[in-house]
Parts: sequence; structure tokens; C-alpha cells
Amino acid sequence: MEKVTISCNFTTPTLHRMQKQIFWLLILTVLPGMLSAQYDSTMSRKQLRKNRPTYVLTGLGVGSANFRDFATSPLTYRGPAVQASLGRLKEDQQVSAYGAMNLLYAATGIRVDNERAYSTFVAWAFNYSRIYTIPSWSNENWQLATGGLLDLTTILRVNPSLQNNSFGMELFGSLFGSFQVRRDISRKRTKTFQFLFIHHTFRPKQRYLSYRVNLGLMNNYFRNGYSYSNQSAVVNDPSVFEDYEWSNFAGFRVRTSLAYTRVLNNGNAIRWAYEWQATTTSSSTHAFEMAQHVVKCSLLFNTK
Amino acid sequence: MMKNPLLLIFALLFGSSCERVLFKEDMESSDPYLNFDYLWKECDEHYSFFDLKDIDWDQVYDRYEAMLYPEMSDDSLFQVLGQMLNELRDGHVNLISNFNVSFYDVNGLGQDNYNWRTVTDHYIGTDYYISGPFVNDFLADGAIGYIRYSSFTGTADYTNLDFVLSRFRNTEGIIFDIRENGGGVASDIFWILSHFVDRPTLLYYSRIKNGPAHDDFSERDEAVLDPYQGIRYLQDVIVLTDRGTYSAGSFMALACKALDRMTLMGDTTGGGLGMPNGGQLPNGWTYRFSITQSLTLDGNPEYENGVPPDVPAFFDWENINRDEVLDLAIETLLN
Repeated sequence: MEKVTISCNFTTPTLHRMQKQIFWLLILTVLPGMLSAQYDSTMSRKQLRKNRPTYVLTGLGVGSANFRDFATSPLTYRGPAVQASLGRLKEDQQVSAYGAMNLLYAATGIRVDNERAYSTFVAWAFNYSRIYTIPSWSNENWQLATGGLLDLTTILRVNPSLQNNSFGMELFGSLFGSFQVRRDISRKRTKTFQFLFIHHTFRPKQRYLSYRVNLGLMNNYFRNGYSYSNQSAVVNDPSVFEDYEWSNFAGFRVRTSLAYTRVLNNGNAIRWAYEWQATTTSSSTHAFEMAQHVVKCSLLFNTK
Repeated sequence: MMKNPLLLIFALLFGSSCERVLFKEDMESSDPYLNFDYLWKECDEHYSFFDLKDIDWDQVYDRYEAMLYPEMSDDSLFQVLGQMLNELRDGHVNLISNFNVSFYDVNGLGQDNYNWRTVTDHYIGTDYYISGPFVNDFLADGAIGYIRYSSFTGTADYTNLDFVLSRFRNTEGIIFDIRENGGGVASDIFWILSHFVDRPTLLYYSRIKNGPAHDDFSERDEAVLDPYQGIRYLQDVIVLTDRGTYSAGSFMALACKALDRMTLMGDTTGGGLGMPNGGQLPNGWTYRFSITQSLTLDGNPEYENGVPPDVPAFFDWENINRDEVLDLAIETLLN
């Protein structure tokens, strides 16, 4: 019987060149949008900036995470996850800018017949984002915005069943191009409802729905080399990152967020969001894939 | 779409959560042929001693692949894969399932050369000290210090080893017994040996697989020992080894070859001079095998088959009242 070849080759120099070309193409299309995307207003930019609502953002979410590290296992580890977020958001109809830190912890595992294995999964991310409304594509109810997101994510994994390869760590640094559509669904007038003896008054509410897509334009990662383990322990030179390698313009990342935001009468806000992100390294030797699904509730405390 | 935002929401949710279109297809499988090929290929591309051990891995594929059949049980598949891995003749190679663990027994390469009961009944008694991982006491009316180190536990530190060496500071020599020490935490090697040198010393070299060909290795890394800045012992030391001295124990024996005042006595070690990795098969079983090579100071990797003693010595099981290896070590130090 012929030998079956199992290969995980994803990338070639040609693909790297294509990725760079796509990066510059998107920069050249997104950048003009960003430069022109200042909403026409009678107030100066400085006044707009000063009046822009500023929030401290604290969030807590639950969901799931899954990952597969082909360097150590062909199996996808899946499990429930919790996420906490802390950040600062400045947002109005013209500009949305935030810096935030997210920490996600997942208890993942595999189950094949009677075999079980477990891996903890921790993802620690720093994000900075700015998006600008495009006036020509926006009105009072609908806003289309574009901009960018900078992301630095560290992933730590521990899987005792993999012996000397039990500890895994990756570092991802990405520049995303961001596109957001926002719909104002505020109730602007008081409405009443009556059915038989049931009477209810719906007061005006400020709220909006937004959907944002972040596409990785420049993806870089720092990951184990060919043998995954290293020999630092037996040469008396302990090093966590020996044999790690940087890969630039490699892999693919995408993040989306569907959010419902309700602005309260006191100026604070509550945001419910479903956030999804997927990452793949597309390594020619050992790829790494991961995805996260989180339903999150964030409290936005107005600081002005 | 604008009039029916719910439809839009569902469409976006559905479209945005499908990481399956981005990821490779699922590889979970209990198929014997798939798991066999996966394990064979992982070994082929990462195992470090094919050339040294003169193993024809392609021929191994043909022999063991012929033993597979589609309806075979997990136990049968495990036997085939485990026996295939035992062709590597390496104690650092294991296949692990929830019902069995495959292993290659290096102890069987030579006779049993150690009996703790003989040591306690006829040499150190039962009032010995237990200083961390070091069992220690005096021999030959206090002239010699005896240290029994049964495993590289990662707990050797300045409190326990300093105490032991301070206790033995006026002896004529130390017997460091690592017979049947199956290894453990490699950092203990350097921590221990740093107490026995007075200058930086090159011990051996190591290289790691960096490509799929059997001879794809990195450049050699140097294993350099720096002297401990506290209590040191600079008299003669005899290190006792046997076939059960494996992995970190073999590394220590290899390192001792580079140290003038240290003499290896006993039997050849079991080998295990390649660091093992860890991985998983499509059916969930896990495995490990060696991915590095350790080289002597003249660049020779052959001590993977065992570090030979400077002075051979063997236990005579006809008389368990004496430990002939220990006797020879005592005699050597006293003379």
C-alpha cells in the first residue's frame, strides 16, 4: 500500500508577496477614507474632541474558544471561556477610539473515543483602535465608519499530556483594517401600549446597533521553531524563547463584533456584544489555528 | 434589509462565526492506517538517532504497515505502533493511551547492579541523613562520604547540597551513587556539578533537529558549567552508574567525563542522551521520542547507546552481603 502523506503546507513565497500587496492596497483605499471621514460640523475639531463622550469600559463575557496547534497535535481543543475587559473609549457619531486590555481564560479539551486530554488556554490582548465616520456614506440614522485596530495578543497554553511540549506560547501582533456600520434605533418619542387592562408607557431611549469587521492587513507572529521544544535545559542555558521565530506578513486574522448599546439617562451606557475572532498562522511547517466566541456585557462609565 | 434588521443580524451572525471555512479540516480519527502514517511520519521527520542507530525507517514502515487491518481493535493497533516505536531502541520513546504505555526497557541491556538493602544492611545502616533528594552518610570510619541520589527531582538546592558537602568537607573523597537513577529535571545536573569545579568548564555539546531529513540538525550548542560561588568540594569523587542510570543520569555521567576529579565506576549507563518531545495522534493517544543529540567533546554522538564507565565494576548476586561496586569505589578512594 502506498504511504499516505499527511501535509500541512500552507504558504509559499508567492503567498507572502500577495499578502504584502493586499496590505498596501487596503492601506491605500482605507487611508483616504480615514482622512476625509471627519463629519461636517459647525464646531471646531478641538471642540468636537473636547465634547466627545469618554467612557471607562469594563466588560465581562462568556463563550467558547477552540485552537489547534499542528506542531503538537492534529486535534482541535475546545471548551468554555470567560473574558474580562478593561479600557477607555471615546465615542460619538464621528469618531470612535478606544484602548483596551482583554483577558480570556478557557478550559479546553479533546475527546476521541475513550481518550481525553485537557489544555488550559489564556489569551491576553492589548488593543488600540480608531475609526472615523464617512460623511458621504452616512446620515442621521446610519453611519459607516472605517479605520484601524492595532492588536497584540499573547497566548499561553498548558497541556500536561504532551510531556516536554506541554507548554505552548505564541505572540501575535496585527494591524487590522476596520469597517463598522452603525444604526441608530433610538426611540425618540414616548409611546404608550394598551391591551385590555395592561397599560405601559415606553419612554424615549437612546440606543444603537453596530456591526464591525476587522480584517488583518499585517499579521505577524512569534512562535516555536521546527522542533517545538528546545535544548536550553540540557546546555545549562535556560531560555523560554530559544528556537522561537518571527514570521512577518504571515497568517490570517479576522474579528467581528455585533453590539447593542443602550445609553442611560445618567450618561453611562450598557453594551451587549457578540464578538468573534479567528486566527491562523498558515505556517509551512506547523500551523496554529484558534477562534474565540464571546457574548459580553460591558458597562461604559461616562467620565464627563 | 434596512426594513428588517433581524434578518440582517442573523445573516451577519451566521456569516461571521464560520471559522471552519478558514481552518483545515478536522483530523480526529480512529482509523488504524491514518494513525500509523501520522506516527511514522512524525518520527521520520523529528527523531534524532536514525543514522547513529543505523535504523532503516522506510523498511520499518513496510514491515509494520503490513500488520494493519481495517477492523483491528485499539489494543491490537497499540501493539503494532508500540512495537514499531521499540525499533528505535530508545528509553525516551513511549506511546501512551488510557489503557497501556509502550516502553523500551534499557535495564535489560545489562545485569542488575544495585541493591539498596545491601547498602543499608552492610554499609551505612539506617541512621543515614535525608537532605532533600540526597541520602547521605559516612563510610570507611568517616573517611569517605556517600551520597545516594536516586532521581533528578528538581529539588536540589543550596540548602540541602551545601549541608551535605559541608558535612563531608574533611573526607578523602565522595561516592556519588546514581545507579538506577532514571533521570528527571536536567537543571539538577548543573546545579550539583557546579559544586565540584573551580572554573568554567565545557562539558559536552548538544544539537537539535531543525528539518525533516535524518541529518538535519542545528549547530552544536555548548553545555558550559560555571562553578558555584558557595561551598565546593574539590577532592576526588567516584560516580557509580549502571544500566538503570538513564536520561539526566546519563547526561550527568557524560558531563563527568569532562571533569578531572570525577571517575565513573560500575556499568555503562542506559543512554537517553536525546531530549524527548511530546505529541498526539489523531485518535488521542500521545507519544514522545528524542529530538536532540548529545555529543562528546570530540563531537561523537555514540554515548546515546550508553556512557561507559572509566572503571567497570559489577554486583555479584551470589553474595548480597557485599556491594562489589561500592567496595571498589571505597578502595580506590582510600588508596
